[in-house]
Amino acid sequence: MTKYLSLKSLSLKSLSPVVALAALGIASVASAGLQLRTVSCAKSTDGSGRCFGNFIGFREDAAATSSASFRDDLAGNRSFYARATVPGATTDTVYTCIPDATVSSLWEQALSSRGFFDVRWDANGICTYLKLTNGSLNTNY
Amino acid sequence: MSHTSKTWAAAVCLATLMTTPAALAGFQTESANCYKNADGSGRCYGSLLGFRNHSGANTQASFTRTSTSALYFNAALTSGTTTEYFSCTADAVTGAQWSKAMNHQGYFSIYWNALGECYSLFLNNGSQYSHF
Amino acid sequence: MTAHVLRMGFLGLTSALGSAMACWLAMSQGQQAQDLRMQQLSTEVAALRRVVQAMNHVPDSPSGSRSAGIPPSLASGSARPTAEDLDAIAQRMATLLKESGALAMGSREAAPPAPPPPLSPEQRESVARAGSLVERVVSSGRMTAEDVLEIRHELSQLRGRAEAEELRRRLVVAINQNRLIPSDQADGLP
Repeated sequence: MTKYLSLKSLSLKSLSPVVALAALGIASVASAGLQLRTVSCAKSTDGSGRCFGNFIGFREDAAATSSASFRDDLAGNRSFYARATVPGATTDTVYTCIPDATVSSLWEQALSSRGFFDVRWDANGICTYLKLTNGSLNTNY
Repeated sequence: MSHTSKTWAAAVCLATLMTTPAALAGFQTESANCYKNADGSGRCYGSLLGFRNHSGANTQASFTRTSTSALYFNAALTSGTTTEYFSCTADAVTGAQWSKAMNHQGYFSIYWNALGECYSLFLNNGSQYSHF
Repeated sequence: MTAHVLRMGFLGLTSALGSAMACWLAMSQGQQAQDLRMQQLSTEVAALRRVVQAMNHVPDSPSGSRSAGIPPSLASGSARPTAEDLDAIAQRMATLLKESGALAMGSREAAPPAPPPPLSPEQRESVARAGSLVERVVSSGRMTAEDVLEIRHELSQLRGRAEAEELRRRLVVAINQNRLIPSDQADGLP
């Protein structure tokens, strides 16, 4: 049974009046296309799970410890590592996986990615699927 | 020079200093364009920042790659209350350049044919197109 | 009073010069932008022109002897190859390769990957130490930043080895099953 621990999706459009007021003192953004901040992580009791969202969503999440990262080191160790907090919870949860060979072939792209990602892993902690999107709704270029 | 004149001179200098960066700002431009022909072929072009900041509420453009080897481009352009959607999957030649599109932050132009295959991709990373 | 008028005049002159400079800069940048746009358009038009020209160069039907595998129209460089031309070239290439014996050499089965070299005594010690550290953090259910650094240090001696990957995977599974909670200060996985 899959238990969704965190699912938040925020459209800036719905907050446009607030954002506009807040932005007055910072920048002059007159209008905007579709812009999203998304943070979503879920896992089953066997440990398999999925995280998707965009970097800007995790970075600007209401929970202070939220983060998501794709890692690589000189020894070739690669991993996805994220923290997210269930709405209403007081503590965060860690989600992590190690890419299989197929997903690893996209890892260099993931390391320089700035937009949307979707990572899924199995009960053995192996990332078995990765989707990356470079799009105007996910990144403030 | 009287005290008042000195004060005015200082104020003018200060105002000039404050406005100088704006006057010397480099060229910056944003645009978002897409069109479709009757047979479904078409083109999208503009800067990713232009799509992000476009006045249309649903306007967006994105390049996607998955670990299952799917490479595709999606866009939506809102004009007034109407949103039109555009999409293509990369052909072999365009697909070979997809990594560049995945890291791109500037101006792009992408064409697709009636079969929905992206067959031409032009990228331009310029100071006028994105924040650096 | 005269000095004041002169100063004011000088200020006005400076202001006028400043405005003129700003206008010149704006026009200059506008010109640059226009040039850039023209350059961009020229590039795209040139690319389109090349495509159209290539389409116009497709011959009706290549004729002539194919005994050498290369039709005359292609040999002269005046036409793009058709599917038939490519088949002919491939056929000719295959014949030549068979005659040269290169295909027989290439058909050998690929050798199985060589087994990894045995662990050195130092590496065996690292595996043992990292293993006991992993065991300890998983048993305790907590992993501090120091634990991460310590395990990472041991694993760094096992670069690219399956033994290291297996130990890291054990941590991943424990974390995902909520049996192990990494400290907020921990820098991710070892």
